[in-house]
Amino acid sequence: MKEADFATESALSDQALVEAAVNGDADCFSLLVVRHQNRVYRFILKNVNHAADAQDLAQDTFIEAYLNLPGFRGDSGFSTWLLGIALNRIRNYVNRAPERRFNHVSVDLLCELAGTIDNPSIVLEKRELLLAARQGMDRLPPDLRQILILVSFEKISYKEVAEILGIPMGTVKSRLNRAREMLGLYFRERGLSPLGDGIFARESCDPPDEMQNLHAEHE
Amino acid sequence: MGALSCDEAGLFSSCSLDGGLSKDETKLLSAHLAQCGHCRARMEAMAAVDTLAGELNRLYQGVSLDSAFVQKVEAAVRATPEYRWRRASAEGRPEDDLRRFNRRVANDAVLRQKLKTAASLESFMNLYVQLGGEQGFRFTDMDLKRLMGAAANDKELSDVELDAVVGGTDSIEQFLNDLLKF
Repeated sequence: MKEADFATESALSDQALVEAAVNGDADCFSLLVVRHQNRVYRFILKNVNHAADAQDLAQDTFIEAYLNLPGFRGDSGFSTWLLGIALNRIRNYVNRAPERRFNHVSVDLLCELAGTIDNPSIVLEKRELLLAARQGMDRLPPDLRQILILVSFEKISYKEVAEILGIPMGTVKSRLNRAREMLGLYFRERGLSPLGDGIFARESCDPPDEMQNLHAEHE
Repeated sequence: MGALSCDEAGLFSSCSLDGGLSKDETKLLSAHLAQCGHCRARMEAMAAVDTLAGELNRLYQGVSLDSAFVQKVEAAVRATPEYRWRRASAEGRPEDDLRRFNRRVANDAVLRQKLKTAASLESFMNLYVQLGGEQGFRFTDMDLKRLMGAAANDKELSDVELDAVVGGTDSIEQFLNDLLKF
């Protein structure tokens, strides 16, 4: 069995590994890293769009987690706790250079990272849609984008997102709604409209630029 | 709660995509959507956004880090004062060293393979102590017996009793599996 398989399939719970790591067993912390590294890395990559920087931030996240292990109370899942630390790292990263918010990872690069570059099922039109989705997310205000990623991508509950961000649950819901509406408008600006069965298609006319107005309203 | 306004219906539409509505809320939303074309279009757009976001997310699911990542984190962790402090506070207890080595073995296929080559329980235990010592873990075969004995009957077992517990010297693999549970 590969190490990663063992870490994933180990009978030891995250909580047990945390306790052992706090008591001096760094190997147990390594098991936690192996178990959660990809989720943390992907979460950061979705936010910062830069593979090398995402890896550095993931490393910083785990080191900070190790230093703060005694503070993990187990109220939320260990991976949720890690994502909270990662989110602070992401905020610092973007705040140090706000233009980083507009890093763009191309869908081709994403396919390459994901090993699907040769996948014929990802046809040109789909790539265009995925790229529009990625770019639309990059244009969202950071607080809306973070919530969209936490809920829609990471499938974290409203309650846990509220705890991670330190905001009321009602605010999580309303920001999420706002993020989805803004993304919908972004697609319309690009001539993409919903077909009614959960997919988008290109329109023939040029709709008005409404996302800019929504940005102004949100800010 | 009475009939929904369009603003409320927008919020409910978003929540419904996450399965975040109660039965009553779902009914209220359905009633509103049945008579409001604007909100139906908005709901449709949100659902399409969510579907597309899901497809984008699936691309990320294929992205992963290699094994060098954990090694980098391990090196960085070992350089922290917290690591040295936690390690120092746990040192000097053979049973803790033994448990730590158990976890190391559990996570290292090469070590496990070496141990499975032992011809007898006695040589297995000697090898276990030797390999542990080579990696900086200090415990004796008596500590090993004590750990297994504690699991059997909360008492120290003789070699013969230990053999009986694990089903004879042919059961090296079983013994190892039992040991790694600690």
